[in-house]
Amino acid sequence: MAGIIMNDQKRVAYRSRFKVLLTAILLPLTLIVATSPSASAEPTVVNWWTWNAGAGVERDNPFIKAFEEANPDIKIEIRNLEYEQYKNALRLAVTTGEGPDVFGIQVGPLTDQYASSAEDLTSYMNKSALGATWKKKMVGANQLASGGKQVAAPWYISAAGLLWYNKTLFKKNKVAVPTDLASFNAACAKFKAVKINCFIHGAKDSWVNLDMFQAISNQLAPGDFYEAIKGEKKFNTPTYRKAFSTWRSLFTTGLIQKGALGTPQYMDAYDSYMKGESAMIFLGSWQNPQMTKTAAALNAKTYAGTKAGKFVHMAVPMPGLVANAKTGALYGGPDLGYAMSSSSKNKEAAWKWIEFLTIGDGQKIMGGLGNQPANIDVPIDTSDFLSSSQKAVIKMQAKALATMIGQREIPNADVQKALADALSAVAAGQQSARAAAVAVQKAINLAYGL
Amino acid sequence: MKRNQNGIGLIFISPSLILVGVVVYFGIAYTFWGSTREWSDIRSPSTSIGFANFEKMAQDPTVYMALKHILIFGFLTVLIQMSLGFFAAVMLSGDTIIARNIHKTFIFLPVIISPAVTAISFRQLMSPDGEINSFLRFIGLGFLQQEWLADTRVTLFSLVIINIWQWTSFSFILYQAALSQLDQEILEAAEIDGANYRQVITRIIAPQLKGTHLTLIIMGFIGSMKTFELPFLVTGGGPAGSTEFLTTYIFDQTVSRFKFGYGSTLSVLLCILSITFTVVLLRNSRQRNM
Repeated sequence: MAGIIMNDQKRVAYRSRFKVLLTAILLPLTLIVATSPSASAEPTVVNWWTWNAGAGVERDNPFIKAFEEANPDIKIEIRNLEYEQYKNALRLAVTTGEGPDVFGIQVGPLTDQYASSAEDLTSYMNKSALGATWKKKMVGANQLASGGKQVAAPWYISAAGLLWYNKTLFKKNKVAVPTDLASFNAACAKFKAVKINCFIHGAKDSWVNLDMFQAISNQLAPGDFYEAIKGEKKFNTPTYRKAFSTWRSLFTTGLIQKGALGTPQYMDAYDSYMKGESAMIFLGSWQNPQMTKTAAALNAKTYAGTKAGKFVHMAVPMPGLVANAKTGALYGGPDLGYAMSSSSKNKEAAWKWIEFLTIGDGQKIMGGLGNQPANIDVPIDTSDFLSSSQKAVIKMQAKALATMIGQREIPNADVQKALADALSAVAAGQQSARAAAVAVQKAINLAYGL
Repeated sequence: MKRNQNGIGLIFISPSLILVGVVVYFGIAYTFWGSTREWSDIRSPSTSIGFANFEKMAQDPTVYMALKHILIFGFLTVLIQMSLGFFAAVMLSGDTIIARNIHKTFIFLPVIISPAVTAISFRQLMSPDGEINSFLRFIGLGFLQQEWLADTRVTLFSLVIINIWQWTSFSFILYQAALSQLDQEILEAAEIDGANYRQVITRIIAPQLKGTHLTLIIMGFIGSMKTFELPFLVTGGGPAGSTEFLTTYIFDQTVSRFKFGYGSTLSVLLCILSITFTVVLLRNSRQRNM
């Protein structure tokens, strides 16, 4: 018992000795931790998931390089996946809570589907360099909102409605660039005579059919389509029946090549155009970077042994395909936007990255790549363009982009599918224009409870 | 002692039982559960809607179209692949054909080629200015040229042709294995009794390969129900749904459009159809002593 029971003096002495010992151990440790360079310089990691990294998908990505130079305390970890894989991987990651801090979102159904997993960016944007003007300055930001929440910030703008053509081929064969259906047919007749495919269209891909249908609809009744497709106006009207029959006529008259319904726009139709085998293709402003010398050099390598990279790539608004067509309208919005995961543990760093991409210097880098930055004040850099004549394309687009006629992406997935199916069936001659308009109207009624 | 042995046996088979239980049966049960949910969001389903998805499926014309395509595709591919495989196996079982091993290798090759490679090759071969149309023009049969992958009247049959090209060798291998097991004495006896070549094939060999026929029919039809890579990679289910299969429709609903509840319902239908088809065919064959 005597050995166990300590008197007060002994107890105090023991406590003092213990305190000294503890201090002797902890003090150097604290100093080591506090002064350790690795501890203080450990950067915050922001996981960035996308299907389109702009340029360069690894450490050579110009956006990451510039950002990390300006923010050495933040490290960007990129995961770049092919779009279909990306959608699957993102869904799994978000549902398990192991997702990225910043992720890419497309306008349309994807924005609604991921709205619940994303942070509302409104307050962040208000505090940004653009302040309260961001809604005006960032084209199509409203297309990336859902249920009153700003799900993502737009990165760059892309619009459809352009006919891209091989200027070199037109010049060589003395063909006039088409402006209406008659001149379109005349151009094709000339190309046919010299055994060059005139206009290539990959109708296997529904997105390009939807784009073309919007072009036709906008020529008939500018802007009406975007209200009709949301049930705000009737779709089963003479306008859309006419649009469907015009679409069908492109196949029956041979303006669209044989076998188009089995040809994907990417890559088969696109390859044909890029190799110089086809004179024209229907695409959008996302083709702007292809006008640069850098892209021409890359294309010459990719499609070695062909005319790729050796011709001037130009665009005009889609020529009128109907009588009294109103041409020149472009439709689109953000090609993609960036959202912040609501479960991100590094929200401050994540926002810095989004801000850099969508508001800060990332916008200048985007303009330098030839794409129209989401901030309409940031111009496209044309210094690397192959020909000075191509600057006219950017000038022509600038006006149309500032006043886009509608949102290219159809907001409801079921309506989108119904229209895509109808276009395919009409093109194949399986469905009449009237039946197609009825089928799409039915889908609109179901989707919007009409 | 016997109880002891049973216990040890159970321990040995338990890894497989757990694996099959978790991976296969839990998966099926979860799909069935998912089919009764309103599940069109990326997060887990929460609302039960009973059999509403099944009612929707019963009124969905795409489902009937897909089932029709499966039937046509299954009937044609199974019939032609079995016939060609059987014919090739019989021809190469005797010693009338020289360099049999080279023939066998060539017949066997397509089955080991990845469907992705096959799909890309045939997309080129079957394009309007592709090699098939060029060949038809070259041999003076230009009138037979088609838009193989773009004409809705032809596309399903184009897929049938590709499938036959790839999978005939599978029938060939099974028939060849079965032929090697045949009792040679019966064949010799038939020959002595004066049976000609056609009679030996139709009356002696073919009936003795009933088991192989049945296996190929079951596998062929189940394969048709599960066909995915071919329509997905070659035609994408189009044009105008002319090559839509249940699998491509499930992919579209589940992956492209995030309709997990309805996609699960379609998967349940596929599962029920496969099981029903197999059970009915096996019962019939047992009753007929096949």
